[in-house]
Amino acid sequence: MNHDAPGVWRLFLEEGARHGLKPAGLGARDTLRLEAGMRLYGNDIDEGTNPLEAGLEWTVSLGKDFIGRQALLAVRQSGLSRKLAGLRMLDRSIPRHGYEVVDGGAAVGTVTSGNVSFTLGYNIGMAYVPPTLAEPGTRFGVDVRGTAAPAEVVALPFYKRPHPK
Amino acid sequence: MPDQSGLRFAETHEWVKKDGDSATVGISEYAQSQLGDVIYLELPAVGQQLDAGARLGVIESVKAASDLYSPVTGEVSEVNQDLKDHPEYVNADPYGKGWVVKLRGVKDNPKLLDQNAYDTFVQGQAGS
Repeated sequence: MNHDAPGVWRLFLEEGARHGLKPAGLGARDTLRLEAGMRLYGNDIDEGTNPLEAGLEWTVSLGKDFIGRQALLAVRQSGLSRKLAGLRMLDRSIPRHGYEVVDGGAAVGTVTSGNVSFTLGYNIGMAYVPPTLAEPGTRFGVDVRGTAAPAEVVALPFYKRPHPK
Repeated sequence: MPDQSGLRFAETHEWVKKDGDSATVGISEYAQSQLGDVIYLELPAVGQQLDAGARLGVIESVKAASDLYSPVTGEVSEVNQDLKDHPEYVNADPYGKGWVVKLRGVKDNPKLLDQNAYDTFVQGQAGS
């Protein structure tokens, strides 16, 4: 441990207080990034996902050459097998990373992130589901400890900060 | 401040207070502080028979879903219905309004810790 760290931390808190600076933990940060619809690497995206199904096509320019371009063009050609969808839970259940999405009694997808949205007042998550189930308004279940908790697809991001005047 | 005398604790962080062959069960102050804001609880049905160490229910906090275990053997006689609308009682008052279930026909569990032993146990956990 760096012995100067506690002093620096305290200085930030003291000096920052008049600017409204407050300490925030990882849990708070994770809630905020999920409300903003940001994909978390290792949760929502990893080596096994592609930017098209993750809804991140805007981050790649298929007009330029890059490693993986051919693979992405092939994916676009053949169509997506799954799509990342935003979920709003219709009961008090909290979807968690790894929970299954169920539809008609069958597992059809996987939750990648989920949490309580304090800003919105309900619980939210993201899941990879077949493209036919990824449209806002679609309803299906999330398997929460053996019970299919009702969920509805909503557009991402869940929350947008109002533009300052 | 609820009366905390006579509380006994499991290493899985539930407390139990016996009254004759009945008992009240909840989670410890340390447990609620570690869980963070409790969002809801899945509780057993009245009449369910539980062995000491058996899964009693699930407590879902902002951070995680955690299993609750029964610290003693007994039959569920009552569940705290107030927690449906006020799960935050578990955080605010874990030894009072935040009680979780009541059991009857309770058997003693000699493995439970008294307050001092539990506090020492928790300190050991926090340091690890």
